[in-house]
Amino acid sequence: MKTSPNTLAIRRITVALDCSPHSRASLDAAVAIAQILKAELSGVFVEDINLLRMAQLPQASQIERTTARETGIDAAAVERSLRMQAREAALMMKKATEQFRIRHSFITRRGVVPAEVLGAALESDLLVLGRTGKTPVCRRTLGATARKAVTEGTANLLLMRPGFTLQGPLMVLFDGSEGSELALQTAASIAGTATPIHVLLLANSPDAAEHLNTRAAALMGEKKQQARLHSIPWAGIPMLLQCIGMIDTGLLVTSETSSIMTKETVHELIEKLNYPVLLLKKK
Amino acid sequence: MSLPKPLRNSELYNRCDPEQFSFSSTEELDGTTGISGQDRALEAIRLSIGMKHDGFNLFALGPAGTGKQTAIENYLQEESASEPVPDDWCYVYNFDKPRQPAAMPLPPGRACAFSKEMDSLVEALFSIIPGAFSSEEYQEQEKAIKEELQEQQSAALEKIEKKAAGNSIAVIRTPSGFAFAPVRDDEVLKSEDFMKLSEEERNTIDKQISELKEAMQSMMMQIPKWQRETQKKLKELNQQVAGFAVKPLFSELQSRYDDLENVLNYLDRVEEDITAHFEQFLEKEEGGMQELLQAQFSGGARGTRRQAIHRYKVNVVVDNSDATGAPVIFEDKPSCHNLLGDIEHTSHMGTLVTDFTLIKAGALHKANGGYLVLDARRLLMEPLAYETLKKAIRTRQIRIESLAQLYSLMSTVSLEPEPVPLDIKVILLGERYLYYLLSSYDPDFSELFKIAADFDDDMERGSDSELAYASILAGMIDHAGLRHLDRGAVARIIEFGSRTAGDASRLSTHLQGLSDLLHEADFHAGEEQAALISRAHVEQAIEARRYRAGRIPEKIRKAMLEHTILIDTDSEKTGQINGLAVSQLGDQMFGHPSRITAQVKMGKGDVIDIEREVEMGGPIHSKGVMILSGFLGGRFGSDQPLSLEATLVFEQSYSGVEGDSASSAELYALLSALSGLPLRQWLAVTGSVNQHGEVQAIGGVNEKIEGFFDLCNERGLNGRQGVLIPAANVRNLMLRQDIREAVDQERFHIYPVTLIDEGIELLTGVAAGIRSDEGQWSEESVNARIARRLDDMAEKQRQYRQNDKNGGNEEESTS
Repeated sequence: MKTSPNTLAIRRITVALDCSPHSRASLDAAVAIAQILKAELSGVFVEDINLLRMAQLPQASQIERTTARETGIDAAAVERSLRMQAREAALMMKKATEQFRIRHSFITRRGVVPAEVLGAALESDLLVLGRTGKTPVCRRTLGATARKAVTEGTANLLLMRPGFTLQGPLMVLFDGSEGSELALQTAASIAGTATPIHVLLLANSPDAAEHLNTRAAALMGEKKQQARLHSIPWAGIPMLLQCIGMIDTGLLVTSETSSIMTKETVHELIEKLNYPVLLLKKK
Repeated sequence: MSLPKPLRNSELYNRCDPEQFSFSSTEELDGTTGISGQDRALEAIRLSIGMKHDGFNLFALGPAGTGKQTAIENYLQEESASEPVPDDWCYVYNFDKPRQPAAMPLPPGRACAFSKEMDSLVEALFSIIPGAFSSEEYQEQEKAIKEELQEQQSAALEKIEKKAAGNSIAVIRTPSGFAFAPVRDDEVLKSEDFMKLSEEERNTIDKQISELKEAMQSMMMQIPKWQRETQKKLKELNQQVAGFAVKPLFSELQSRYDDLENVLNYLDRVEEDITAHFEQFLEKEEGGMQELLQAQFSGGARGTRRQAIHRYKVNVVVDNSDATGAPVIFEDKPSCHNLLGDIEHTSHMGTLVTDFTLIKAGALHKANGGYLVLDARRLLMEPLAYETLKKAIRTRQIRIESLAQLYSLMSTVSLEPEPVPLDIKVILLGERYLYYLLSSYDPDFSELFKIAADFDDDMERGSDSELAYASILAGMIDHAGLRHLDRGAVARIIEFGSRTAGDASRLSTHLQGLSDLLHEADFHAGEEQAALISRAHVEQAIEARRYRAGRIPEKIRKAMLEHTILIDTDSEKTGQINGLAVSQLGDQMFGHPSRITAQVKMGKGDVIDIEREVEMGGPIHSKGVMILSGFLGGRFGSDQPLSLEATLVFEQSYSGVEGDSASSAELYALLSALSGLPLRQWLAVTGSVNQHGEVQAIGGVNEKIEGFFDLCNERGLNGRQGVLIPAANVRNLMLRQDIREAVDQERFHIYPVTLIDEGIELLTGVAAGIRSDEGQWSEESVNARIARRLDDMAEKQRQYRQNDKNGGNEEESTS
């Protein structure tokens, strides 16, 4: 991917690992981006302090996922389990990066998971994590860490989920704002040569749509042949979600700043969206 | 008593006049391959074929090559053409019992079409079903159902999380489940902080956590149920989509077979199965045979593309699309497998596997609704084939059974195909002895094969039958693609037919022999580049055949000429005669003379057969010799006991002797020995005799005459040589041309003898004699000399006994 003045400059990527399918998808995506951008990859595993504390509480017990039975919790066993998960995550990362010769590091932190993940990503240009963590049921909404990263994080954020890769079709929200231009150019830069790029032109009039159309084509440069432009008026999140669902594409690339939507609206969209998202927070 | 006159040339051969034929060559004949003179057999065939009841199967019996198969083939060809074409049969997958493939009949000619249509349907499903399941509408519906489950679970979990959060309790995911813990400022309380709480607070928290756990348990108990419900909804959706997608294809196919209820039922089952197991049409990669079979036998829903193709295949085992009548099947190798069909196996990873598409039809399937013709000997030689055939006829169904499975010789996955109803007429062809053996020893045989078509070895010879014979020859020529015969050749072959039949008034029905002769004659005609086979070619073929088979007779004759085997054909000897024997080697017969001698001494009236004493004589021969005792006793022993002991022997015989055809010769030798009159060695004798001195017919008369003639001819015919044959055998004479010519020139004579007295007079030149009312024989006749000799012997024996008795008494008194 060529970096132009108006595209993301990513030199360091932090990926949160917890051995869940979501984090596996996150790692794959992070490796793919690191390979393209020659970025350094940093893996982080957080030993959940809440879990450890809970295990130390008197008469701590759990409801087993597979049998719904109540069983006791052994604090030492929880400690061992977390250490084992950390080793597993490190190994997973090693295997994923080895073949691409990507510079990488791995750290294990202990604390409240969202805070520790965000803390680990303070120096990074991109934080990659799953939409949700380990869960017996498949949440539609964001997990606590993802939610905190969306609302409070400062790094650009890639929220992955299993079943999607960066090689699939992309979608970009484009309203002509500087942030959306960055999103469009970023999408064009990470898309493969045959990857379709669906551009949702958020325009409330035909003239505005025409304008956005022209601008988008200009910004995409040589990738404009891969563009599939869809013009829709902005009528709120439900309609936007419906449109995205109908196109049924892969990764959504969007900026946190928009001329049409507020930051909170963007966050709400991400909360309800059932697709992976690359949220651009800074250039 | 007048002596028999030598036979004339015309009595030695029944010549066929070629001029009686209106055709110039067999090319002008219609060339039927039918056989005449077999009316009895044909009537039996007609009855058997006409009878539609159980058990009226046919056994055509007669010697090999007599045209049994040809006659039956011809009859059935005509008969079957007017009969309805039977159904096609196919095997299809049994959806209820996969190990028992279902047999399905279809009207003739429709099974193959149906099979192809099923193949096309299955092929189409590989594009239609994936198309239906990749449609946006389906994807949306599937996603909606799955999301419903997710939302159900999320909502329940969020409800618990919300309730927990309201009480400052966090839901924490552990490696294997969920736990609850009190939180302050988003962090779980440390245990020491927790212990600092008042007891009341701790109890409250415990109680709240307990309630939450119950709620969590209750929720988690619901998850499998929700998943089941979701699966059910997905299954319903899938089946609706699959059913909707395949319906038009099936409707189209069903409309084409709406007159066949069994096909419609089968198509319904296929449609149900495809709808239920639509996933197999979404498979892209082919699986192994093992997987295929496992899935088939387990009735498994999951399978591969290959399985899908197999499962819905239609295995057409009987296809009558080209038939024009009832089938007529000739099975050359009536083994169990070839009769009943077979379940073949293929090897996969060292294991034998099978499925219903590997079911192979047998001759019974192919002949079902028609006729099955089998060679009885071959049938009986095949292990269990006869029993298998009987079982099929008796039960009226074809049940395919593997012998290996039946006898546990092979233990592997196999099938039990549904039996096919059997409606068949079985025709067995075989030698007579087989028929009689089966009739005697197999209790089922008479029940199952009620009709016997007895093919005669020969047929009457007359102008009609000679023409029919010519027609048969024409048919055989057409069939074999040989040169046609001119009428001279036809006449010669007819004469050959009589010679083969051993009767001048009959014709052999051994078609195979005729066919062989035709081929050989055609060869000779070919060498001369002749357009037609002539009499000379046939003669050449017969002569060549005789020459080929002449090695042993020639060696015997040479041995006689060199006096290694002593046969006198020139002088007169007492108690010695040339009998005539016939030998059979393979299909060749030849005759040769054999010296028989007799010696007489005093005894108790016994005639000793030396051959029997050394166990070289057969029972019939021994019987013939015993008859001689009867004859002597009857003629000379009415007034006094016979005081002789005679021995009879075949000189230089080193193998067994059987038959009674030498009994007259033995009697002549005996009479000569008793009378002291020498016998003319230039005359040879054949014929059996009874106790009254009547000479009776024997077999192989032509060969016997020819055997003696050849020896005499080699030594030089002198006008005295000849043969005495039974008068009853004159009708059998079909002698070679050279013999006929010699007879014509009075260089060789053939005397038809009716009584022993005629024969002895010819052989001795002395009258046999007539007994007066007083019991006296004509003076100096053969019989008078014998009577006198016997009287002498009796007298001597009386004297000897008297002396013996006196001597004994003296001795006794002395002692």
